[in-house]
Amino acid sequence: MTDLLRSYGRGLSWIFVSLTAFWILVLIVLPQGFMLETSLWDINRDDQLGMKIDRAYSDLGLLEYDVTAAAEADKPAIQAKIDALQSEIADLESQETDPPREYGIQNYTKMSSLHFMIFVKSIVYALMVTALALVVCYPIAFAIAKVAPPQRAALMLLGLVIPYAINELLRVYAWLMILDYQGVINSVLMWLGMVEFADKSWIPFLEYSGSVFVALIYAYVLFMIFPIYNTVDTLDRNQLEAAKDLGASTFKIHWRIVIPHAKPGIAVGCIMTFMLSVGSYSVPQIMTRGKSGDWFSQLIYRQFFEAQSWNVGAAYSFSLVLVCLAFILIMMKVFKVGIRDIAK
Amino acid sequence: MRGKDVQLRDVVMRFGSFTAVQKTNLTIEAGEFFSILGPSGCGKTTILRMVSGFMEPTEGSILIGGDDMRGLGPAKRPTALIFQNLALFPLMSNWENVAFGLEARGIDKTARRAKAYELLSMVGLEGHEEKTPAELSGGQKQRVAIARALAVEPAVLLLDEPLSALDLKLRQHMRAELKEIQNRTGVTFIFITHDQGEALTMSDRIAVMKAGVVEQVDTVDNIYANPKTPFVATFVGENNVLEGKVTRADAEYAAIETPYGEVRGLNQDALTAGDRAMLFVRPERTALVNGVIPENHFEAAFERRDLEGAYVNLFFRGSAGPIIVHQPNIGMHGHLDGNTRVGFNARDALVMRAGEVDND
Amino acid sequence: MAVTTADGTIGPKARADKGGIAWSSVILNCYIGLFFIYLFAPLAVMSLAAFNAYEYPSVTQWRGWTLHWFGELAQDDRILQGIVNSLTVAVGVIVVALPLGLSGAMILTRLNSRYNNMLYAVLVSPLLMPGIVLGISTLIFWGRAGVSGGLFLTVVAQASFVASYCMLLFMARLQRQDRVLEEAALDLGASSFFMFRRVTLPFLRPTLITGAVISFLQSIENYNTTVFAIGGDWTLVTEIGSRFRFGLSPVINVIGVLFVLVTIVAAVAYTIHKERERKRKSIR
Repeated sequence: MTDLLRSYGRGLSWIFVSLTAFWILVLIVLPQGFMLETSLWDINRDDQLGMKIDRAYSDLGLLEYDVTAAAEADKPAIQAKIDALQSEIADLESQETDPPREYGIQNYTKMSSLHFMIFVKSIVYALMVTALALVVCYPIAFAIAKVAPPQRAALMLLGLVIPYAINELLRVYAWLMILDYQGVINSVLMWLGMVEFADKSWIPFLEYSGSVFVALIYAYVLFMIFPIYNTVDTLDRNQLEAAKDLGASTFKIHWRIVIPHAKPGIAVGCIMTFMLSVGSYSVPQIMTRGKSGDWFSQLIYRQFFEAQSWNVGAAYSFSLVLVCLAFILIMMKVFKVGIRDIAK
Repeated sequence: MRGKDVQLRDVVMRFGSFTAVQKTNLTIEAGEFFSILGPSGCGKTTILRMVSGFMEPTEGSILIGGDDMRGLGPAKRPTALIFQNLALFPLMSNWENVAFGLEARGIDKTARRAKAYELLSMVGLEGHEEKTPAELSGGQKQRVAIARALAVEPAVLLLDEPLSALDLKLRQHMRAELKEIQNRTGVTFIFITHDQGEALTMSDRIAVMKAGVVEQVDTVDNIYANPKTPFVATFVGENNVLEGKVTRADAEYAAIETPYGEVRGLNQDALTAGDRAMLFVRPERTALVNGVIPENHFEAAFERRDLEGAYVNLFFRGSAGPIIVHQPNIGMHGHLDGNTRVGFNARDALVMRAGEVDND
Repeated sequence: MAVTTADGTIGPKARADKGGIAWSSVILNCYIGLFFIYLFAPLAVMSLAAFNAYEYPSVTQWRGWTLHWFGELAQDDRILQGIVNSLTVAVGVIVVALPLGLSGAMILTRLNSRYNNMLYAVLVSPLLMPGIVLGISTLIFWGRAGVSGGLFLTVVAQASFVASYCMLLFMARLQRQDRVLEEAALDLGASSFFMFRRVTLPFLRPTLITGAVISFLQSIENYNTTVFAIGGDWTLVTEIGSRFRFGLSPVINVIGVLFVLVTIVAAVAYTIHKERERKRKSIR
C-alpha cells in the first residue's frame, strides 16, 4: 500500500483502489452472493390463500351489514370484530403480494432424479470432452512449438486463430449443417445408397448426444491448444536433443521432459475446456434443437425464462460453480500448480 | 552559488529489524562535491534515497538549506537525482527528456524547449535534441541525464553510481566533466560510489561507510593520508597490514610485536602497551632496502612483478603475509630473486587499534 | 539411456529410433493436415451454403448460385439493429473493462501483501466460471436493485470477465516496466497524475490498444453470458441464437461468410503490418 501511495499519491491510488473495489464488489462478489442467497430460499405459497381472503371479505360484508342493523349497545362489539377481520385481511393480502420466504437447502436437495441425471451426464460428458481435447491438441501444440520451422509455425497459429475469430454459434452451426437429417453426411450416405431421404431412413445424428460432443470439442479446442503451446514453447530445445542423444524413445521424451514442463499449460487448458463445456449453453442449444436430451445449462435457462423459478435456477447455477471450483482444485492438486500459474 | 547545504541530524533508518543506517550526523557544505564511499550494502544508497525523498528516515531529520524535509516527497525537494541506470524516458526525445521537469511545472512549450536546447548544448549535445535516448552512446546518455537533472535547477544534485556502467576510458573522461559541471554551476553534488578512485579524483570531501556506519568524514587528502580506522585504511587505496600486540608506546609512536620482530609507527589511537593493534603502511612508502636502512625492515620472498605503466608493483611474501611495494617506473629494475629485504620509516606507518579490514 | 556396444558405436536400439523418428514425423504431418481439415471444412460448408438458392441452408441440395441471401440480410432490420446493439455493448465493455483491469493490475503489481494471491484469485475468478453463471448472477443481483435485463446489464455482465482479461494483459506489461522511470519523473517534480499521464500511460499504450481489441472481440463474440443478461433486447449473436429455434435460413450463412471475410482481411492486414514492422526494424 505504501508503495502504491508513494508512486501514485493519494488521488490516483484512491482511484485504483476504488475501481478495483467496485469491480470486486459490484461485478463479482455481490452478484455471486445474491445468487447464492437466492438459491437458499423459496417462496412458500399457500394454495388456500385466495380462498381465505375471499371468505374474509364475505364475512366482512356480513358484519358491516350487521353493524348498521344492530342495536346501539352491540355496535362496539361488532365494530371490534370488523377491525380484527380487516387486519387479518391486510395480513393475508400482504402474504399474497409478498409471500414469506422459506430458507433452506431445499432447492439443492429436491432436484428431481431426471435433472440429477442430466447434471451428472453433463459433468461426465464435459470430462470426456476435456480428455479427448487434450489428446487431440497435445500433438498439435507440440508440433507448432517445437517441430515446425518458424514461418510455418506462424502460419499454423494464424490457421488456428481464424476459425476462432468466427462466432462460436456459427462454428457450431456449421456442424449442424453437416450432421443434420439432410446434412452433408446423410447426403453422402444417400449417394452411397445407404439411407433414403424419401422414407426418412436417414441417420438422426442430432438425436444422439454424440453430436453435442463433437461440436463441443470443435468449439473449444483452441482453449486447450494455446495454453499448452505457450508452455511447450518455453522448453529449451537442447533438452529434447540431449534426451534424444541419450537414446530416449519418443514416448519417453514426452513423458519425462515435455509433459512435466507443460504441466501448467495442460492444467489451464483442461480447466478452460472443462469449464466451457460443462457450462456451454450455445452448443447443446444449437446442436440438439430440443430433439435430444437436455444439457444442464439448458435446464438452468428454462428455470429462468420458462419455469420462472429463479430460486431453483440459482441453485443449479451455483452447483455448476461448485463443480468448476472442485475441478480447478483437483487440477491444481494433480498438476501441482498454483493459482498464479493458472489464468495466464 | 546556487548550492545548498545538507544536514543529517541523528538519522537512523530501519527496515523491520534490520538497521540499514545507524545513527548518523553529517553536514555537507553548500557547493561542495561530496562523495559517500563504501562497499555495496553499506547504506550509502539508503542515505541518498532519504535525502532525495523516496524514503523517510525512521529517526532524526534531514535539512536542506536549513529547512526540515520531513514529509516532503521527492517532487517537492530542491534535489535532483541521477539514477544508476540513468532512467531516461525511452519514448521521449532527448530535449523532451531534459524539459520534463519544466513541463511538470507547467512551463510553456517554447520556453522549455529553449531551455532544454541550451542545457543540451552546455553538455555538448547540439544536434542530438530530436533523437531518442536509444540513439545515443553511453556517454551521451549520461550527459542527457545530467542536463535533465540540472534543468529543474536543483540546489543539490544526487548521483547514484552513474558512471558504473561506462567503460574505463569514458569513465575517466566523465569524471573530469562532472567536476567541471559542478564547478561551473556551484550546485552541491552528493556522489555515491563504491569506487575509491572515483571518489578520490572528484570529491572535495568523502564519507566512508561500512555496514550502516559512517566511519570517517574528511577531505580527500586526509582520508588517504590519515585513515582513522582499519577499514578506511584498507578500503581507500592499498595498504600493507601488520598485526600484533603493542609492546611499547608513547605520545607519538607505538611499537608492535610481529613475526618480523618489533615494528614501529605513529601512535594515532593513543594506544598503550598490551593493546591489540594493526600497523598500516602504504605500498609507495614501502621500499626495497638498498643503501639507507629504514627503521623497520625484514626479509620477504619475492613473488612477482606487475607493470602498471607509471609505476611497478612488486609482490612479496613474508612470514606475516603478503607485502606490496610500489616503485616509480624509472627504469631501474634490478634482478629480484629469492629473499629480499624490504622496509619503511616509522613516520610513514600508522598504528591503530585492531579492527575489521576490507577483505577485497 | 544410450545403448552403446563395446566398440563404442551406437547400438541397434538407437538406430531403430532414428528410423522411428522419420516415421513419426510423417504421421505427425498427416495428423496436422487432418486437424486443419477438421477446423476448416465445416466453415467451408457453412460459407458455401450462403450462395445456394435453396431456402433451407444446404450444400448437398444445390439449386444454383445466388446472392439473394445477401440482399435479404441487408433488409433484415432485426439483424441490422442487432449489429448496432452489439457495437454499442462492445464500446461500453471497453470503457468499463479497461479501467477496471488496469486498476486491478496496478494494485496487484504494486502491492506486496499476504492477501495478494487471494486478491488475484478473486479477480481472475470470472474467467474460470462458466459464462452462464456470470449472466445469471448479474441478472439476479441487478434484478433486486430493480434493473432488468437489457443492453446495460449485458455490458455489466460482460465487463466482469473481460476486465479480468485486460488485467492479465496489463500485469504482463507492468511486470516489464522499469519502475525507476516513475521515480525519476517524481524526482523531477512531476505530480503523480502528471507522471501517470506522461510516463506510465505512454508505456502502457500498446497494451491499452490490445486490451481494447480483445475486449471488443470478446464482447461481440459472447453468447453464453449475454443470453441471460440481454432481457428483451438483442445483440447480433443472441439474434442468431434465436433464429436457430425459429426456422433456419441461409441468411445466417451469409453472416457467417461476412465473419469469415472480415477475419481473413484482418488477419492478412495484421500479417502485412507485422512484416512491415519487422522490415523497418531491420533497416534501422
